[in-house]
Amino acid sequence: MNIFLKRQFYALKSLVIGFLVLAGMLIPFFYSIATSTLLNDNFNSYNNGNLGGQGGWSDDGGRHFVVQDTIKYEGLKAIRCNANENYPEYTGICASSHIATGLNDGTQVFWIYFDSSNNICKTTTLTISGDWTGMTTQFAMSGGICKYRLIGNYYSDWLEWNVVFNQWFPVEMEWSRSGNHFRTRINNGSWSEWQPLTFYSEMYNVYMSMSGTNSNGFIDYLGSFSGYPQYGTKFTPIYPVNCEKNIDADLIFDLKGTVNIGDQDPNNYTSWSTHFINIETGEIKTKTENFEVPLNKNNNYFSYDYTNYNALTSGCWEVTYDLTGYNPNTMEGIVVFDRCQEPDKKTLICDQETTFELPVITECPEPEYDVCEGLELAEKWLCEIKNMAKEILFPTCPKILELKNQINSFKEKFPFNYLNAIKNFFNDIRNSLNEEKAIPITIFGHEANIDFSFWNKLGSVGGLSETFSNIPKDFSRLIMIIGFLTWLLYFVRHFF
Amino acid sequence: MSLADLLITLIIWVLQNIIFPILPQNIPALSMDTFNDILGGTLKHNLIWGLAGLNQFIDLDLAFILINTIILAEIIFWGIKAGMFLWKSIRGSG
Repeated sequence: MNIFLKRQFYALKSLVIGFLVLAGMLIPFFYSIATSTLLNDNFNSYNNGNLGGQGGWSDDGGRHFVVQDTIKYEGLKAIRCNANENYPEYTGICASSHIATGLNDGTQVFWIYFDSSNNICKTTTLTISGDWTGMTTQFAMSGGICKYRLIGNYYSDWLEWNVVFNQWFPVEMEWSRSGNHFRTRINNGSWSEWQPLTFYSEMYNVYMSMSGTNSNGFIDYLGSFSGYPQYGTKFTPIYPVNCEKNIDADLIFDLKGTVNIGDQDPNNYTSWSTHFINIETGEIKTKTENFEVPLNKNNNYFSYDYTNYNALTSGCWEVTYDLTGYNPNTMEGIVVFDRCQEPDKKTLICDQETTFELPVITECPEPEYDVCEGLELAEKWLCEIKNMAKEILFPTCPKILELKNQINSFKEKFPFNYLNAIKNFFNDIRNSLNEEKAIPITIFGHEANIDFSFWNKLGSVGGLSETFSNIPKDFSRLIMIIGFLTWLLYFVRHFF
Repeated sequence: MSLADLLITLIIWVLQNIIFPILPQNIPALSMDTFNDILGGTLKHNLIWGLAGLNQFIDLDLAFILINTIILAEIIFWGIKAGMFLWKSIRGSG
């Protein structure tokens, strides 16, 4: 009996180990799907004016982009290069660069806006570079049309794209050191062919320039493929079927989650439509309202009064809704309070409350199949076998999403939820500390602030220009790092 | 359905039927709500004010990053040890 049980245990152990090995093999596969992004920046926290010197951005010989808050893809700010941008020796030319942590394989998205009334795009150069080499996506007028080309080891031909003016569009660049190549996708079109590029190091520098005195250009949201705000094109909540006789009350909508400036889709204004469908005749009456974003954060309610909507004075109507151009990254859902009455100015009574969760939009990776046509017999077989293997080994989109959801569920379980709470606690303290400049105190009934601003004044220390605060801070950093290394040594000893 | 899909189905089944049921959302001694209330209440506010002066002399940003790293690593290590203890208990000494 004992031997039988032991065998069962060993069989179970083999099964578990086998499963873990398989899972271990799969995890790197999933991680390999998501290539890292070189630089994330939305310019929202910068001061208006010269981009150079803010957030790690540098001028290029006096030429620079300008931070502004008029035209932006998301958030509060974007950067511009106007036709009349004027520097001592240049007009209409801007250039800025940023060093980031290097990547052998990576991606980078730029959101671009060509502001032009005469369909002229600014000559725009977007370059990701490392030591001695770089890859460029360049826009320019060619034959009277705004075209683009790719520059790696060679210059590609000028290529046409789905040109848009006065509208934001993404430029996505992807590179691979192991493959010695890069490619680009403009405005959600098809990916370009891979372009050869010799690597001598990781790619670490982002360079952007615009020139031309006939039009204006804007750049916003440098980030990842799936990281940029994606707006739901259309979301129709499944609403319980009602037969409304003479709709005579307010509808109140409560946006759930954080609603900020920039939460509306700039190309397709966020709007909420209420459709009334006549059950007897099939006639549809639609009322559409645009969100007035930013809404007051403390009061995200907005209401529409259909009491006097004469179109519905008779008949039996079903109600459905459409939400377009929402931002699923910040908005979580919407609550509709239905058939509300306001007996007095302080009271609101609603018959029905329905919550709609917004669907999350996620891009799924697709396998890239090799082109087997035109190959010789053996090569063709190999190519087809390779494609077949990709088809077998590549998970489908719903399965990836299902797994992501399951992994996200871990966040709600002990100990991950407690750890997250602790992490958020420390992060909140860190962020709040950065805002504190002075400490209020009361001495003998007099209120005053202890002001540490002198710490940030520059002084000469050992011939170098340093702020006073750097001296004790550097010393404390040294002590902390030594302390951390001591703990690390102790910790690593657990395993040996 | 591809082979990868089957494998994911298996992983999801293990997560749903074996791992999630044994992971609680709250620990009895300190529920998540109470824990959040403690952290988000006056404790945080007082700490921010108390540390605001210290921040002028010490790089608290770095300190918190290191403290976070140490707490996380120690808890994960404790979890692994607990798992190994459970496994050994089930398996027995033979």
